[in-house]
Amino acid sequence: MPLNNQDLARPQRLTIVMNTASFILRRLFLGIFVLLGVVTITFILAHSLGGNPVYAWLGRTASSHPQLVQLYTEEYHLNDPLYIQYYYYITGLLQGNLGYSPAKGFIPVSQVIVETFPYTLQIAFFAIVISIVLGVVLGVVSARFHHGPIDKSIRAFYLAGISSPAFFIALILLIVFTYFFHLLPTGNAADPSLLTPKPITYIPMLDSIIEGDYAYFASSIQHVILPSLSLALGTFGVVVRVLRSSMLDIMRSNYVRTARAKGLKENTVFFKHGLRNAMISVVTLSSFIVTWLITGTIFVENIFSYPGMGEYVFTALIVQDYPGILATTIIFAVIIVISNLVADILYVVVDPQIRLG
Amino acid sequence: MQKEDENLILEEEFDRSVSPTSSPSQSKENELLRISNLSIVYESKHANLLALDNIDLEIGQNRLIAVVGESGCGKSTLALSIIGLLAMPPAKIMNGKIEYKSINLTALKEKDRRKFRGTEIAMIFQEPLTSLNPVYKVGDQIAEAIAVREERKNDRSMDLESEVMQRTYKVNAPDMPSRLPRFKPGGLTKLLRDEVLQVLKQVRIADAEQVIDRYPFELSGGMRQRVMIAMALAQKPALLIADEPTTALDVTTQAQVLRLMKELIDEVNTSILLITHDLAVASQVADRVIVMYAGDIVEDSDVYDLFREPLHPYSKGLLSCIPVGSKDKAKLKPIPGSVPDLSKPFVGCKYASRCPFAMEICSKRSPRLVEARPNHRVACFLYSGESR
Amino acid sequence: MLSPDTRSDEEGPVPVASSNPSSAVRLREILSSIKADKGAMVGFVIVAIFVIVALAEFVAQSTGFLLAPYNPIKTNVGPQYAAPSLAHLMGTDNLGRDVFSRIITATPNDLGVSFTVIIFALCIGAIVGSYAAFHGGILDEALMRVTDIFFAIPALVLAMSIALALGPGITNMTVALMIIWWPPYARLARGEALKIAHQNYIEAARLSGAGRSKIILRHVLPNISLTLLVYASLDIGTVILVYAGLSYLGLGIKPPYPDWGQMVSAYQDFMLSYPWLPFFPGLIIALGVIGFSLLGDGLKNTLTS
Repeated sequence: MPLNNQDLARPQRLTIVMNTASFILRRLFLGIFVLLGVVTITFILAHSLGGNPVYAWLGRTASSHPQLVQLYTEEYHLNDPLYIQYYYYITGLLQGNLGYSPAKGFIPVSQVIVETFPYTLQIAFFAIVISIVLGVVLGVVSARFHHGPIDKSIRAFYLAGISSPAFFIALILLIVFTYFFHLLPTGNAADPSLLTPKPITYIPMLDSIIEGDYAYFASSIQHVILPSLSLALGTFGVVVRVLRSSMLDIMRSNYVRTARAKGLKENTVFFKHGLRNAMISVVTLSSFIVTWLITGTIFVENIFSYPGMGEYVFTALIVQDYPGILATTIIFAVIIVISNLVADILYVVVDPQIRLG
Repeated sequence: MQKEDENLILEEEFDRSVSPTSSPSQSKENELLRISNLSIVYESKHANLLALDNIDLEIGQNRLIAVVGESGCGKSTLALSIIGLLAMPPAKIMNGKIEYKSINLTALKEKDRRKFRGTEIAMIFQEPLTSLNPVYKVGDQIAEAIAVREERKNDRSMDLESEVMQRTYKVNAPDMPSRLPRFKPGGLTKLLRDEVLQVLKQVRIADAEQVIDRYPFELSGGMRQRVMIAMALAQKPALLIADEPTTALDVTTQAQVLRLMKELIDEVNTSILLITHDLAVASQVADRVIVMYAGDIVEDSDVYDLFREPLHPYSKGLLSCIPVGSKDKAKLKPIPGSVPDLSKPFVGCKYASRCPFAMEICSKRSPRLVEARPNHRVACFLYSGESR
Repeated sequence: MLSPDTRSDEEGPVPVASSNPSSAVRLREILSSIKADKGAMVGFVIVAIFVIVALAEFVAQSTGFLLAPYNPIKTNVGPQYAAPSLAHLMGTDNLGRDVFSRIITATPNDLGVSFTVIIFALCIGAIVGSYAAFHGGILDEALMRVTDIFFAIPALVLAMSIALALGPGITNMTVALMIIWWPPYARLARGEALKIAHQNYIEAARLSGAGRSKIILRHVLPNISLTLLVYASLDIGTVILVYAGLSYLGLGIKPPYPDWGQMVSAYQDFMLSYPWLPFFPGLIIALGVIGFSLLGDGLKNTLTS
């Protein structure tokens, strides 16, 4: 019996590539547009800072130095109409000029960010890994034993986690692990007596592995684990929830019934057919997790005295380092836009329907 | 039916009446499945629903048996209980057994029961659109089924009578090498790929080379159902249960799939148990038809006999329901009344309240299946005199 | 699975459950299903306690009446750093102030901020979203892009930046949060409005000559309000957390007036010797969020089933 060609219509490989490329490009343009909006918002904010826009570049304290004010008014065209200022603001940003940080002795903010961001990246990386591993494991267990006491206690556990402010979790961990049990050190990214490795990737932990400096790496792990755990305990809950609900739906689905009818072992059905499909829904969470992590690092890094970007934000707030705050707002937005783009790409990879449909 | 067919029927009847075995079941040798006295109940907080009430059923080799009944009559429960996919917390087997090649399936533990799934008893379901995993290619899913079969073939440690398993392979197996490489998710090995192609062609998919790399969502409903059939057949089961496989398809595709199944019966060594609510479907493909009502088997006969002379009042009602003739002349004759509430204990024949031939005894006792005509059983007091 | 078809054509039409029962009946249904759900009950109790305390405190503060056991601002009502005891349920802080009283006094702050922000976000978001959905075109596009921009910055960070412009303090923070909080509601309202835009009753209203605003007010808003309310009930906890964070950073109520987040931050330094000090305010924040989460979950389960 001949069959319709309609049944087998699939776009050629070139079309698939072009579809994916255009999809990514569209998301990229959206991202750029969003960033432009963010930058505009910070521009508006910079001009609302108690009247004097110089604050945006110098901060409150230095603005009392008339020569500096003069210098900056010229350099940033602060006497010119707003749209010209806007233009210079944007071009300045694109060149990496984010102002000078009074909190750090007037070194360029961009330099501060370059120095602190890798440490935040380290915390974020481990926080995400712990969060996902913990979330998936507990989500699977919850689904497997659903409505039983195990399910309920896991729910209580993660509810406490999502509901507690990041600083509260951090404080509790600090008290328990450092003071009661003297298990883990606090302060700094690694033992200060050890030399930081040569900047190859600019990420200290990676560099230490590349160089073979395992002492530094080990010490880094010790120092990073508590901050990461504080953040992860706040985010693993949503992973558990999504995975559990996803698994429960999937295990009742028709294709799981088919897999059982084929005579596959229940384990195979559960993991190869069940979990594989459930993981798709975890990708949706990435946006929420990134947002929570960013917000959390501000508190957590301060509590553990970890030299990351969050700690800088915290300090900047206290000393009214406006350049720092505005700049980090933009950086955070960049991070979120990039992570959304990565999530979209992940969707294409993980779900064939999006790739080809 | 044409006049010539009627003559043919009479001849068959004549032959059968002189055969030594007067019981409707085939000789023990050819018998595949025997269900005896099976009762299944769904237990819930509010009520216990009697889904199957002392069912007796036999299926032989190379037969296409249709089980016909309206929704709720228990046919899906029957199908799921045979393959062992009935959710046992709400469902419970009250009594009876299901014997497959003389092995009592109902007495087995789950891990042993599972070994019969796929390679001995396979099942395809009603909704082809959602019955395939959306993230794996169709070819990979079929290959997975083949891999299950090959693993079992090589697994001599199964503590069941190896006689049972080998019988299937001896009868069905083509010349396959003794060891197939293990299934790897990355890509199909040549041997696996060839076999998948072969089985796809067997279900009349012309572009098998293309389909093998497709994802389920890229295929139409009819195609997906063929893939399901292919996947089931790839495991070379002795019994394939098809639970309303064409209900979700349009009429043209339905006809194609049914024709395919009928042709396959002659080509492969598999019996098909076709569950359907549609008598017309049954009439097109079945050798034997079993009519169910409210958890009971009410009639069990050869397909021609049933259509020529339906014995049970329900079957008579069903057949007269089928619209015949042109719009102007046809009158739709539904069966008045409704199915009894299965959650309450019931005395007497379940059909009695709707039956135009009901007698006094019908509300007092429930009739057993007796052979009213050669090879034609019916559960009705019209034909059985006294019963239990 | 087994659903016998119990009707035949000869019986009359079967009465179907009314799709629009009266509000009283629905309220009773909701309440009884919340009672059945243990988690939701716990949440309800917690929320009730918080709300009652907040209201009572608010009244008390406006009238100058002292509800808490001790004056929260007065120093040395007890010994410094006293451990929790019967006299001081949560101990005393470095200035001899009773921690429990401070926590009670601070309750209307967080709850007040959260409710204000959420109610504002709900109303503005619902209206803006529905209008965008029904007007379509450039208004809709503009809304989508604006909300995209807001989604790109974490709430806390944006609030912090706005605090630079407005200055700290609870009123300013509430305003800042109100500005930030409505976009998700507008998005949600827009989505829901689009879903019902093709329903028959909307078409009927349009055909009968109702203007767009009337349609939206009378037909759209009531029907999308359910989804929005469910989302809002789960969102209250988030606002509490964000405000607690802002207050921890010193952007909330200025000392000596108590505020939960600010208390954690201030007592953090004494954590080594007197760990209960930062523990209690932090615990209260967590408890509040847990209560609203449980209640929100319960509402979600009942209203979506």
